Amino acid sequence: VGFFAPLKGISYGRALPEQHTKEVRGMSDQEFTRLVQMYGDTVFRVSFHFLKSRADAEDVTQTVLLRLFQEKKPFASDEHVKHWLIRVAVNESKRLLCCAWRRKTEPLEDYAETLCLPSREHSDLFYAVMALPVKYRIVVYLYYYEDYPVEEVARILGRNRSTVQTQLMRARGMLYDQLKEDRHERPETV
Amino acid sequence: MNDRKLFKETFSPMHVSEEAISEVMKMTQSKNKKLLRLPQAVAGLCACLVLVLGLAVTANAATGGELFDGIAGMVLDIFQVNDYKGIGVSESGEEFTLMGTNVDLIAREGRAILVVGEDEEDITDALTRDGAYTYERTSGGTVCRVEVTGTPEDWKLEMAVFDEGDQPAITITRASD
Repeated sequence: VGFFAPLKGISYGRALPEQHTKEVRGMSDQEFTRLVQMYGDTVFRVSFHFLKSRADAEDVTQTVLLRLFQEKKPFASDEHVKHWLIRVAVNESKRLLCCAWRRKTEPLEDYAETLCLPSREHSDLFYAVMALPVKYRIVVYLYYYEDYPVEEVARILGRNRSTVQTQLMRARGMLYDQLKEDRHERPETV
Repeated sequence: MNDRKLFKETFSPMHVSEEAISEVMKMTQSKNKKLLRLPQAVAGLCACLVLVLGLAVTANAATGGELFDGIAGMVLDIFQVNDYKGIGVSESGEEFTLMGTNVDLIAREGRAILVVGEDEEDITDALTRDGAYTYERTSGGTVCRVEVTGTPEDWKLEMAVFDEGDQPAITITRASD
C-alpha cells in the first residue's frame, strides 16, 4: 500500500464495505437478459453507425451492456432503458472515435457481404449511408431506423433541434446525390 | 431518401454476434462479478488513476522508479461503485479506492466543449460572459466538481472528486496549451 502513500486522493487498505458489492448489482439476471435480447442489436447498430467497424461496435456494445447491468437507477419503462442505452452507446462510441487504440479496421465490403442484403438498392443505400460524415450517419439512423422524431434525436445526441433538422436535410441531399450517382455508374443488369 | 422501409430492410440484418453477448453474460455471472472489462477498465474509470499517477512523478523520482513498477503489478480487479469511484483490489487482496474520471476542455467547431466522463457541455458562452463555469454532478454519493476559469481560448480547469460530506479527495488541474 505504500505505493499510493504519496498520492493525494487514494485511500488504501480500506475494507471493502459490503454495501459496495451490493451496489454494483443493478438488476436481476432475468431482467438483464431480457433487455439484452431486446436492445443488444440496437446498441450495436448505433455504435456501428459511429465506428464503421464490427469489432469496435461489438466492443462498445459489451461495455454499454455491462454498464446497464450495474446501473442502479430505476428505469420507468423499456423505452426509457432503450433511450438510456442509445445515449450511452453514443457517448462510448464518440470516446472510442477519439481513442488512439481504435484501429480494428475491417473492410466495410467484408462486413456488408455478411449482411446478405437482398438487392443492389439495399446495398447502395448501405454504402451511401456509411459514406456520410459521422455526425449525419447517426442522425439518419435514429430518424429513419429507430423512428425517433427530430426532437428526440436532438435530445439523445445533445444537439439543438434546428441543428438536427439541418443535418437531416443535408444528409438526405448527400444520399440522394450518391444514390443517383450509383444508378448511373452501375446500371441495372437484367 | 424517404423510404423508411428500405432503410429498415437494409440495416435490420445487422446483429451483435452471439459470442459478444455470451461474453457479456459470462462476465455478469462470474463468481467475482468483475464488472469492468479490460482494457476499458483501464481506459475508462482508471483514466483517473493515470491522471493521479501524473501527480506522482516527483514521488516516483524520489523512489527511484519503484513506485510505478509497483502500481503496474498491483491492481488485479476493479469494481466500479459509481461513475466517479471504484474499488481496486491488489494481487495480495488489499483494497483501495480509486476516484476520478476523464476531464478535458476541447475545441470543436469554434466552441469550447467541457468533457467530463461521458458528459459534454458547451461552455463557450459561460466562459465568454462570466469568465468561469462550474460543473457539478453526483453519482452514487460521489461528487465530481469541475471549475473552469478563463476564456474559451485560454483556460484553466480544476477537477475535484469526493464523497458527499467529505473534503475533495482528488484535485486535478489542467490548462490550455
